[in-house]
Amino acid sequence: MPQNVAIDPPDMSGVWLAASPRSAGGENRPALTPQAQADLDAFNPLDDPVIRCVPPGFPRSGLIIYPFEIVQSDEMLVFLYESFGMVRRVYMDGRELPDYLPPAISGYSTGRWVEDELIVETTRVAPGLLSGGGIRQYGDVSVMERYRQVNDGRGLEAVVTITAPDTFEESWTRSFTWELDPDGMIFESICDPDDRRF
Amino acid sequence: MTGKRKSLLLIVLLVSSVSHAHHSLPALFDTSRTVEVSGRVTAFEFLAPHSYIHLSVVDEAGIETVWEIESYPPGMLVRKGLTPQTLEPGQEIAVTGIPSRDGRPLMRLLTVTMPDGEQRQIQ
Repeated sequence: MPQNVAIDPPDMSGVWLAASPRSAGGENRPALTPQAQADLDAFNPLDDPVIRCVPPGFPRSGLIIYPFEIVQSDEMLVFLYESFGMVRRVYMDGRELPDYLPPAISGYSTGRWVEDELIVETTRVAPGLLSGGGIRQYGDVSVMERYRQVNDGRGLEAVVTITAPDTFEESWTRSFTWELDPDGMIFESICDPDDRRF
Repeated sequence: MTGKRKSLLLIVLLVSSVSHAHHSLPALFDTSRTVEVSGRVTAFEFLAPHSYIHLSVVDEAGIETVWEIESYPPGMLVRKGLTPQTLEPGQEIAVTGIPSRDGRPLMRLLTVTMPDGEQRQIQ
């Protein structure tokens, strides 16, 4: 297996709390394709699969307000999301993804270090919603995340570029920040589809 | 059962049928509006995927309405300083929130003013 291990990469492990807004509405969002606009116009929020306790999928899962924990080794970074208990593995060992992989709600992520920057690329995401507001992606989405630590390691910044030609007329680049919660923990947040009390 | 009571029961059942275990904000709430109420905490359900504060609100005519104040699951509330130790039945609080679409006394919590007057931004 090819190796792509940085000699001394930054330690990004820990619990990270969202420190920037997460609205999927504005912030230089590119124009929607006619199909995506029509689907957005026809969207009924009650059709959101999360209502049936289906996890929201990536990149929606990674860009919402809920925190995540990073567990880091030379070969892999694991993102443990509080929301729905989702898990995303980022392979750092230089592997190439085999062609037979079926679409997955979190897609498949590979990463590499470029100096102090972590670059993660995600593809083969199953079709789904990009936002709870009804922006849909059709299985052609690819995402590049560029992470770097700031504030002496107490902050994390990411520039995220979402490319989805069937949804957006051009790529959508957004910036996000998180703060390290040194003593924090990730809580279980499991959804029971049979719980109709509310 | 009178016709009026049957109608009321039917309305309650219809309302209950559109409730969901989990949902995005626009699914149940009218994000174009906010409401503010004050009252006494009767229960605090510290649960995933949503926590609920039950708040007894009495209007000027003496009519009581029990509001359900929906918010984040426990992890997010802990980080905002709301736990079963800091928010207890019997406390008087004020809340602002996003009201339900269907007119039920249900809102999504935005801010809570604690008994000591401290206002906390929750969402």
